[in-house]
Amino acid sequence: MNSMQVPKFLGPALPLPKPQTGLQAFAVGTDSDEVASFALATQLETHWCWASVAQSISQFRGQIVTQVEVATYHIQSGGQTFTCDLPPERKDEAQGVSCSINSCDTACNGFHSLKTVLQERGRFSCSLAENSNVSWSNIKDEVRVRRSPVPCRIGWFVGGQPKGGHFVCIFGWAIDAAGDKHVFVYDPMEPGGFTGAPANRQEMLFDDFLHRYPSLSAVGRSTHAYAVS
Amino acid sequence: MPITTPDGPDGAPALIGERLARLSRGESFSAEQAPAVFRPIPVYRISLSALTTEENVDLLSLLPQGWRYVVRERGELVLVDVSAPQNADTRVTRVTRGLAGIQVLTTALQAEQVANPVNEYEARIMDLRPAGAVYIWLHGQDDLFFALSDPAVALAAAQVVGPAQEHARRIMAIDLGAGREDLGS
Repeated sequence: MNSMQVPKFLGPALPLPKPQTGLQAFAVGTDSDEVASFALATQLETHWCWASVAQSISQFRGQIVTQVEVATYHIQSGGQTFTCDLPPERKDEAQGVSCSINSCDTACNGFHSLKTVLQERGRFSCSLAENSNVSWSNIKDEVRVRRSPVPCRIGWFVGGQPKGGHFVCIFGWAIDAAGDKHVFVYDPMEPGGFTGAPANRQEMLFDDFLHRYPSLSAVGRSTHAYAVS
Repeated sequence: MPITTPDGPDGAPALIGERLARLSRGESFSAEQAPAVFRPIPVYRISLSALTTEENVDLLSLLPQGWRYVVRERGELVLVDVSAPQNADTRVTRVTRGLAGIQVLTTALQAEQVANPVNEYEARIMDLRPAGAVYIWLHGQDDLFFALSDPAVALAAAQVVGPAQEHARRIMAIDLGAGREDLGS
């Protein structure tokens, strides 16, 4: 990394100011925990956050499955008979799954309920929040006691009206040296590109996660959270 | 200098250092590993309502929504997002680890190499993440966009805004009536 070329307009890197005296030593006492063995593959389709999260939860519980299989199973559980698929340029990532029709964009690649998808796969335990904020104690317990990630829905709002949403996964938490609460989050859109690459690790204040999650509508709010089995 | 970035908010580097230290759990590092920060890039977004109601989104009317810093920390490139509404109440909103830091530097380098050296540009980030894309945006006489996921191709504004509008219209069209408020995409 040290040899990486840097654009002139960004460089050179300057040392960050040292934090307040004592902060480093105090930081030793922070409490944190995370489900280190949990990984999330980013979504392979523009509207497949639910498939990405369900796939990652299933794989975390030892059930190897692709996002295409998650999507197809969900669509067929709803009474459809066709197979979901990826666009031709992403065929390789589908590992040989073939498409039977070309109407996936109106059915598979759309808005779906993660709760329903998890229920279909036997991975839903209970709701931790329904149209409300998930509590800090729920997050702590799910991660520390049950060793489980926590799928959450971020609702988007336009003019105060709900307009769509996006599923992410909390997989860890920390209380920092100043007593502030943080969560560690995997987002199926981070990084973007719809490649199925490992999701980036995001660290943010719990309060920011609940009320100011970055989104297309400027800010999103946490609206749902689930315990998984 | 053909490409510039504006200065970030006052005090942001100190806040970034403090945030990283707070979560460091006291891990020590050598002088060579000490965190170092590159110049910030202002972050722009286009609201859902603007994407769906305006046929031609006026990029000139957009205001920066925050700042993105690339920080080198223990051999890793970390992204730190900072918000500073009206250049006040500066706060760190997000720390991102993984490929993102490398993507930003790689894409910014590509943009620098492709940009016309005669023209003057301001480097920006256009964050249309929920539409699946983040771009290095060179704003100048000609606006050039370089997607972090595919930095080799310089895109025009219409090639960036068009797909985002299509995505936004789809979001706005969805019925989130009773019993459907738990949907996501």
